[in-house]
Amino acid sequence: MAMVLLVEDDAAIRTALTRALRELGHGVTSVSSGMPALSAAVEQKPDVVLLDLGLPDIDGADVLSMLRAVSDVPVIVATARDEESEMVRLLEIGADDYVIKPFTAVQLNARIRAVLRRTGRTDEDPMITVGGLKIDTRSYEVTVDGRPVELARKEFELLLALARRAGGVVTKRDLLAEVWQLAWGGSDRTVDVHLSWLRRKLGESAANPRYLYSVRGVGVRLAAPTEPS
Amino acid sequence: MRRRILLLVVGMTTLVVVAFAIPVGILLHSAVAQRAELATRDQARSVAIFLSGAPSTTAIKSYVTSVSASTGRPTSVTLADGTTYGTTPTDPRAAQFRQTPGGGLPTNFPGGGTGQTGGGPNGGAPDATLHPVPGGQLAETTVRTSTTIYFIRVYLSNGALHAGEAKWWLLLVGGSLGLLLLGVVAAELLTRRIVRPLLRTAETAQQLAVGDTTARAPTTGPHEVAEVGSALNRLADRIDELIAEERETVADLSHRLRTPLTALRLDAEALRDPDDAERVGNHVSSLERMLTAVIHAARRPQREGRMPASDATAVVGERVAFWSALADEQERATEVELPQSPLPVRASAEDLAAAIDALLENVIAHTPEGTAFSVRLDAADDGAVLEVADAGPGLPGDALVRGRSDRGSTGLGLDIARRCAEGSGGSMTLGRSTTGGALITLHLHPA
Repeated sequence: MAMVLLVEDDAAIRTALTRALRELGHGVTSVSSGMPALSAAVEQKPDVVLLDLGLPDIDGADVLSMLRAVSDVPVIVATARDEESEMVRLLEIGADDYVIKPFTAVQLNARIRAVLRRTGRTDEDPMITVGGLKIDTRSYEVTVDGRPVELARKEFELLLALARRAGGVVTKRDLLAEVWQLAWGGSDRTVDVHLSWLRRKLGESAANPRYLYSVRGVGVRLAAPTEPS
Repeated sequence: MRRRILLLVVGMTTLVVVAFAIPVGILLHSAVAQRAELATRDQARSVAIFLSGAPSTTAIKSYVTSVSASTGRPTSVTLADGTTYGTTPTDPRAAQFRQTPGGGLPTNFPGGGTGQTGGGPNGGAPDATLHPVPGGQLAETTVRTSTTIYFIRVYLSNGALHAGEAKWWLLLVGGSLGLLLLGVVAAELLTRRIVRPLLRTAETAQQLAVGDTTARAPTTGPHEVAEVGSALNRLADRIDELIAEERETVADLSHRLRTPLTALRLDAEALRDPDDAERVGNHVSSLERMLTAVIHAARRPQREGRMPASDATAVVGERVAFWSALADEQERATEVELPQSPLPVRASAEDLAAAIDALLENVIAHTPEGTAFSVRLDAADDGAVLEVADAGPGLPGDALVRGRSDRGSTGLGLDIARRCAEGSGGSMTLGRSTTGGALITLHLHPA
């Protein structure tokens, strides 16, 4: 689906990620240090670069600066540090997004797709339509039957994750991984409470669902209403 | 130390005062006596001068009476014929002695109408001499006029000898006591200046010992005392630095663990058997949570400052409102009681929110849908009391016994709440609500 340049010095992660991303349908080229990464980024013109910050030869942040001088390829930074200041710094020197270790392939895939969408490098339609529900993945606007809906960030991400797999049941575990990056203390109830808000804002309830159906013991399904309510 | 300084000063002052007051007292004693004797002799002389003017008998009488009364020293005048005006104790021996030379030396007393008084052997004014008599002294002199000779006696009793001395003694003792008092006041001021900063420095050391690393000693007072304070402060700063360094090292090491953990997670995901994948994935998840908690704890002071604080009313209100959507959906009757005013507690808003989330999540996870629950926040003397009660089946017995519970999908629910309460200096207690369900009470220390 996308050509990914993986810059990662840890062999175990490199192998695992390459395999996981290929399984998810991406083409993967991997390098283990900064200099080869720069030349690969220029020569192979990947769709997205996944850059680990701890590289043996050049600091990841410097690789990013150098890369930005020659290319505007989307870069997702993988970092072990989760301080806000670090994130801001990375975004300021040209990162398009970041994932915090330890991440999962599902999460990474969601990030890759989001970045590609934002940078217009995907053939995916930026508008997702499920019945009367319209989600603009670029402007983050949601309307239900033409009526705009104000969503918090997590609510939007949750809706998007469900809408992308409209009709299918998404497990709460997957939602936690994709939307919450499996934050500590994250539990099914976290998903539940956000779903409640989402339902409320979409103008429905668990007892009278239109778009959001809880499938007990499995997960959540987003589907167009079968009949107008 | 205060008592010792006080004793020292009082002792020193007393010594100085005594060393000064005793000679002064002796001098005073004799000076007063001398003055009284001098005054007595002067009085005798004055009477002699008066008599040398040859006054009338009536005048002598009234003069003698008035002089006796005004000076308090009995005065008497005896004429040559033995007539006596006024009363004085007489010393027969002395009288005789006076009689003899007085009578025997008429030429030495050239009387005259000039009013010039006769003199004694020295030729000047008739000088009185003092003789001891029982109970006092007698000043005696004679004056000779052209017509007669007067014997003058002025009696100075032993009591009168030291009259007026009392007020001097009073002044001396008062002055001494005043000096002593001044010394005590000065000592008190001095010890306060020394002891107060020292006491506060000791207090600071105590606070540091119980873990309040923000405590700093005063650097006021005398130089040496201030030096003790600043030395303690330097030590406290150094402790802070060391702790910060240690925490940074822990955080850094934990961060580094995240890389192998990523590999582990990716590999776990790739396991063929979904059961294996889930089981290993769960292990990785809990490892991850632990690691995040470690980093979180290590970074806490850097993030929140050494004394985190938040408004419990606002945080509880906000979190309850957040969970209300799910509670409504599950048709749970919710009772919320919050104080009207802000309630600052010693916990960061983030931690407090996580604790409340954990408690509410527990209620929702472990009681059937439709079960009522209540959240109460009250101000207490020692901070705030947060009660989360539900009408569910209650906590398992062993949770009550052990005071902790592992229920909850993460196994961390109550631990998060407990850590928040204990981190603030408070505590968490588990109990049974009035409806038989679980009652979890967080005592939070005030900010």
